[in-house]
Amino acid sequence: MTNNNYEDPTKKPPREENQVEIPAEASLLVQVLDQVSDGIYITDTERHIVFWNRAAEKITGYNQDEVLGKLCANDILNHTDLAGNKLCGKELCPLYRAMQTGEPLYSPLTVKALHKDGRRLVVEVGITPLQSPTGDVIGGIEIFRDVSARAELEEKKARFFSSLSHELKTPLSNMQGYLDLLLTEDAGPLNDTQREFLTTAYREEQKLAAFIDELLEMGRFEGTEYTYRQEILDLSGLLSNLARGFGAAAERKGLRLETDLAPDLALFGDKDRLTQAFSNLIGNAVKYTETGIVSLKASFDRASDQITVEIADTGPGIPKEEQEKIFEMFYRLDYHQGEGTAGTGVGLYIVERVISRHDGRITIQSVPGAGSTFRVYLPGFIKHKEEGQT
Amino acid sequence: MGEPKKILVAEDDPGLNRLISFKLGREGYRPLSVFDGKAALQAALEEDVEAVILDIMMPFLDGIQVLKRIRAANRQLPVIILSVKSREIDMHQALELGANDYMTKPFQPDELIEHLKQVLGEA
Repeated sequence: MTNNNYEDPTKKPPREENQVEIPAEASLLVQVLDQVSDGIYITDTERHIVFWNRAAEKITGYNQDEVLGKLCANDILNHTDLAGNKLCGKELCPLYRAMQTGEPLYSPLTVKALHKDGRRLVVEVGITPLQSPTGDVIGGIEIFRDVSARAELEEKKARFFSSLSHELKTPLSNMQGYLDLLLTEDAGPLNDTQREFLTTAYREEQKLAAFIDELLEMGRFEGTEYTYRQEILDLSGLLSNLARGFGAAAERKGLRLETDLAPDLALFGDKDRLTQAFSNLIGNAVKYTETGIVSLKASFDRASDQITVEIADTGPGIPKEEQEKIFEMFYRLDYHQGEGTAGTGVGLYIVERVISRHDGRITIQSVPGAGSTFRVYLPGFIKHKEEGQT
Repeated sequence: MGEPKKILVAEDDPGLNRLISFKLGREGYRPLSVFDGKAALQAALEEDVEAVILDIMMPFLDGIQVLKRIRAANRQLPVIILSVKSREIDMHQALELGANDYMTKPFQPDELIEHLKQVLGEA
């Protein structure tokens, strides 16, 4: 089952490796590594720890003697994702995966690690496979930084925005709702002047609501890189629920929302953020399309371990010269300034940021008058239901 | 048309609760107002309501818990979740837990009625 072809058969069994004396010329390097403020450790291909620098001692509370020869996985750091799910199984361990693919992790992971005293630290982790001069993978390097304090601050900020959001939306909902009841004459007939004044109040309230919406979304989003929860998530399920949610809205507009979702698509990611990103994309497609079809497709390419999600609409489209700018913050297309589509232009900016934070990318293809197609590419895998998770 | 259908309105904000109840009354439904999650759950399980309009953030028991327990009690009652938009994770969560529909605040009263008719199969 396990892909072991990177192991050097001429070497001694890995367990004895930590007994090997460090050659003199390497001691200089060790001195340097001990001065670095990030924790650094090196494992053999079976993930036994063979090197552990001073910063790693300081961050985790374990000194070198306590960890050398131990499995990094279960014995020492016991990495979990931010939701507390274990990452140590061979299928999930990022270090193991990096050694198997021979590729470093391109962007840092934020995970939890166990301190010797039992505390759970939030650490930002970079991982690289260790290669011999001939290119064989002979181990793995993990570099980690304690970001617990910052992560705690971000948690507080997220809670603050969540309650701020509730506090602002409740009065707005009241205002909009009662103005609406008056305007629909549910509370009795209106004269023309009353209607005119209420219409103005209603329109302005809608602008305020849209603006507050985006401010909140922005505030919740900015400066929260350490609260990205990296958990194994069921992307097929997430997309199909969003399709159901937006399906009703599409139906009411007389649009068809078609889906073609491959089952069991999974990735390491932040459920909340990805939900937000795909909501923005599907929501935009439904919002700006007046007639026709919105389609949502997702597929997996085994050769590149890549998930492709495609959101296509038959809306107004986006002119070529605008296409590059739409992912910029506060960028809005002119024809979006019309009635009922107020906004400040942070939606796609957030989408782009979330996708790139997941090592993905997004492209747009659009013909004015014919529609737009957004494609999101994300590294992922197939996770069959029976392998865990209820 | 027979008896007006009884609809449970679970919303802790008095202004919004009155707004929804008023609109339901205008449309020929019989609203039953409750202002916290515990009362919502009790009413959903014991009263002969035909649908629930359910706020998420409520005292004692939040809307998600109320929904979970309604479904655990095996009641196939139509439930429309009302939530604030910037917490859109709720949409995913709510549908996963078996909500029939999901609306964000602020909403238009007419739109709420359309959603209600849809889940009641009247549309």
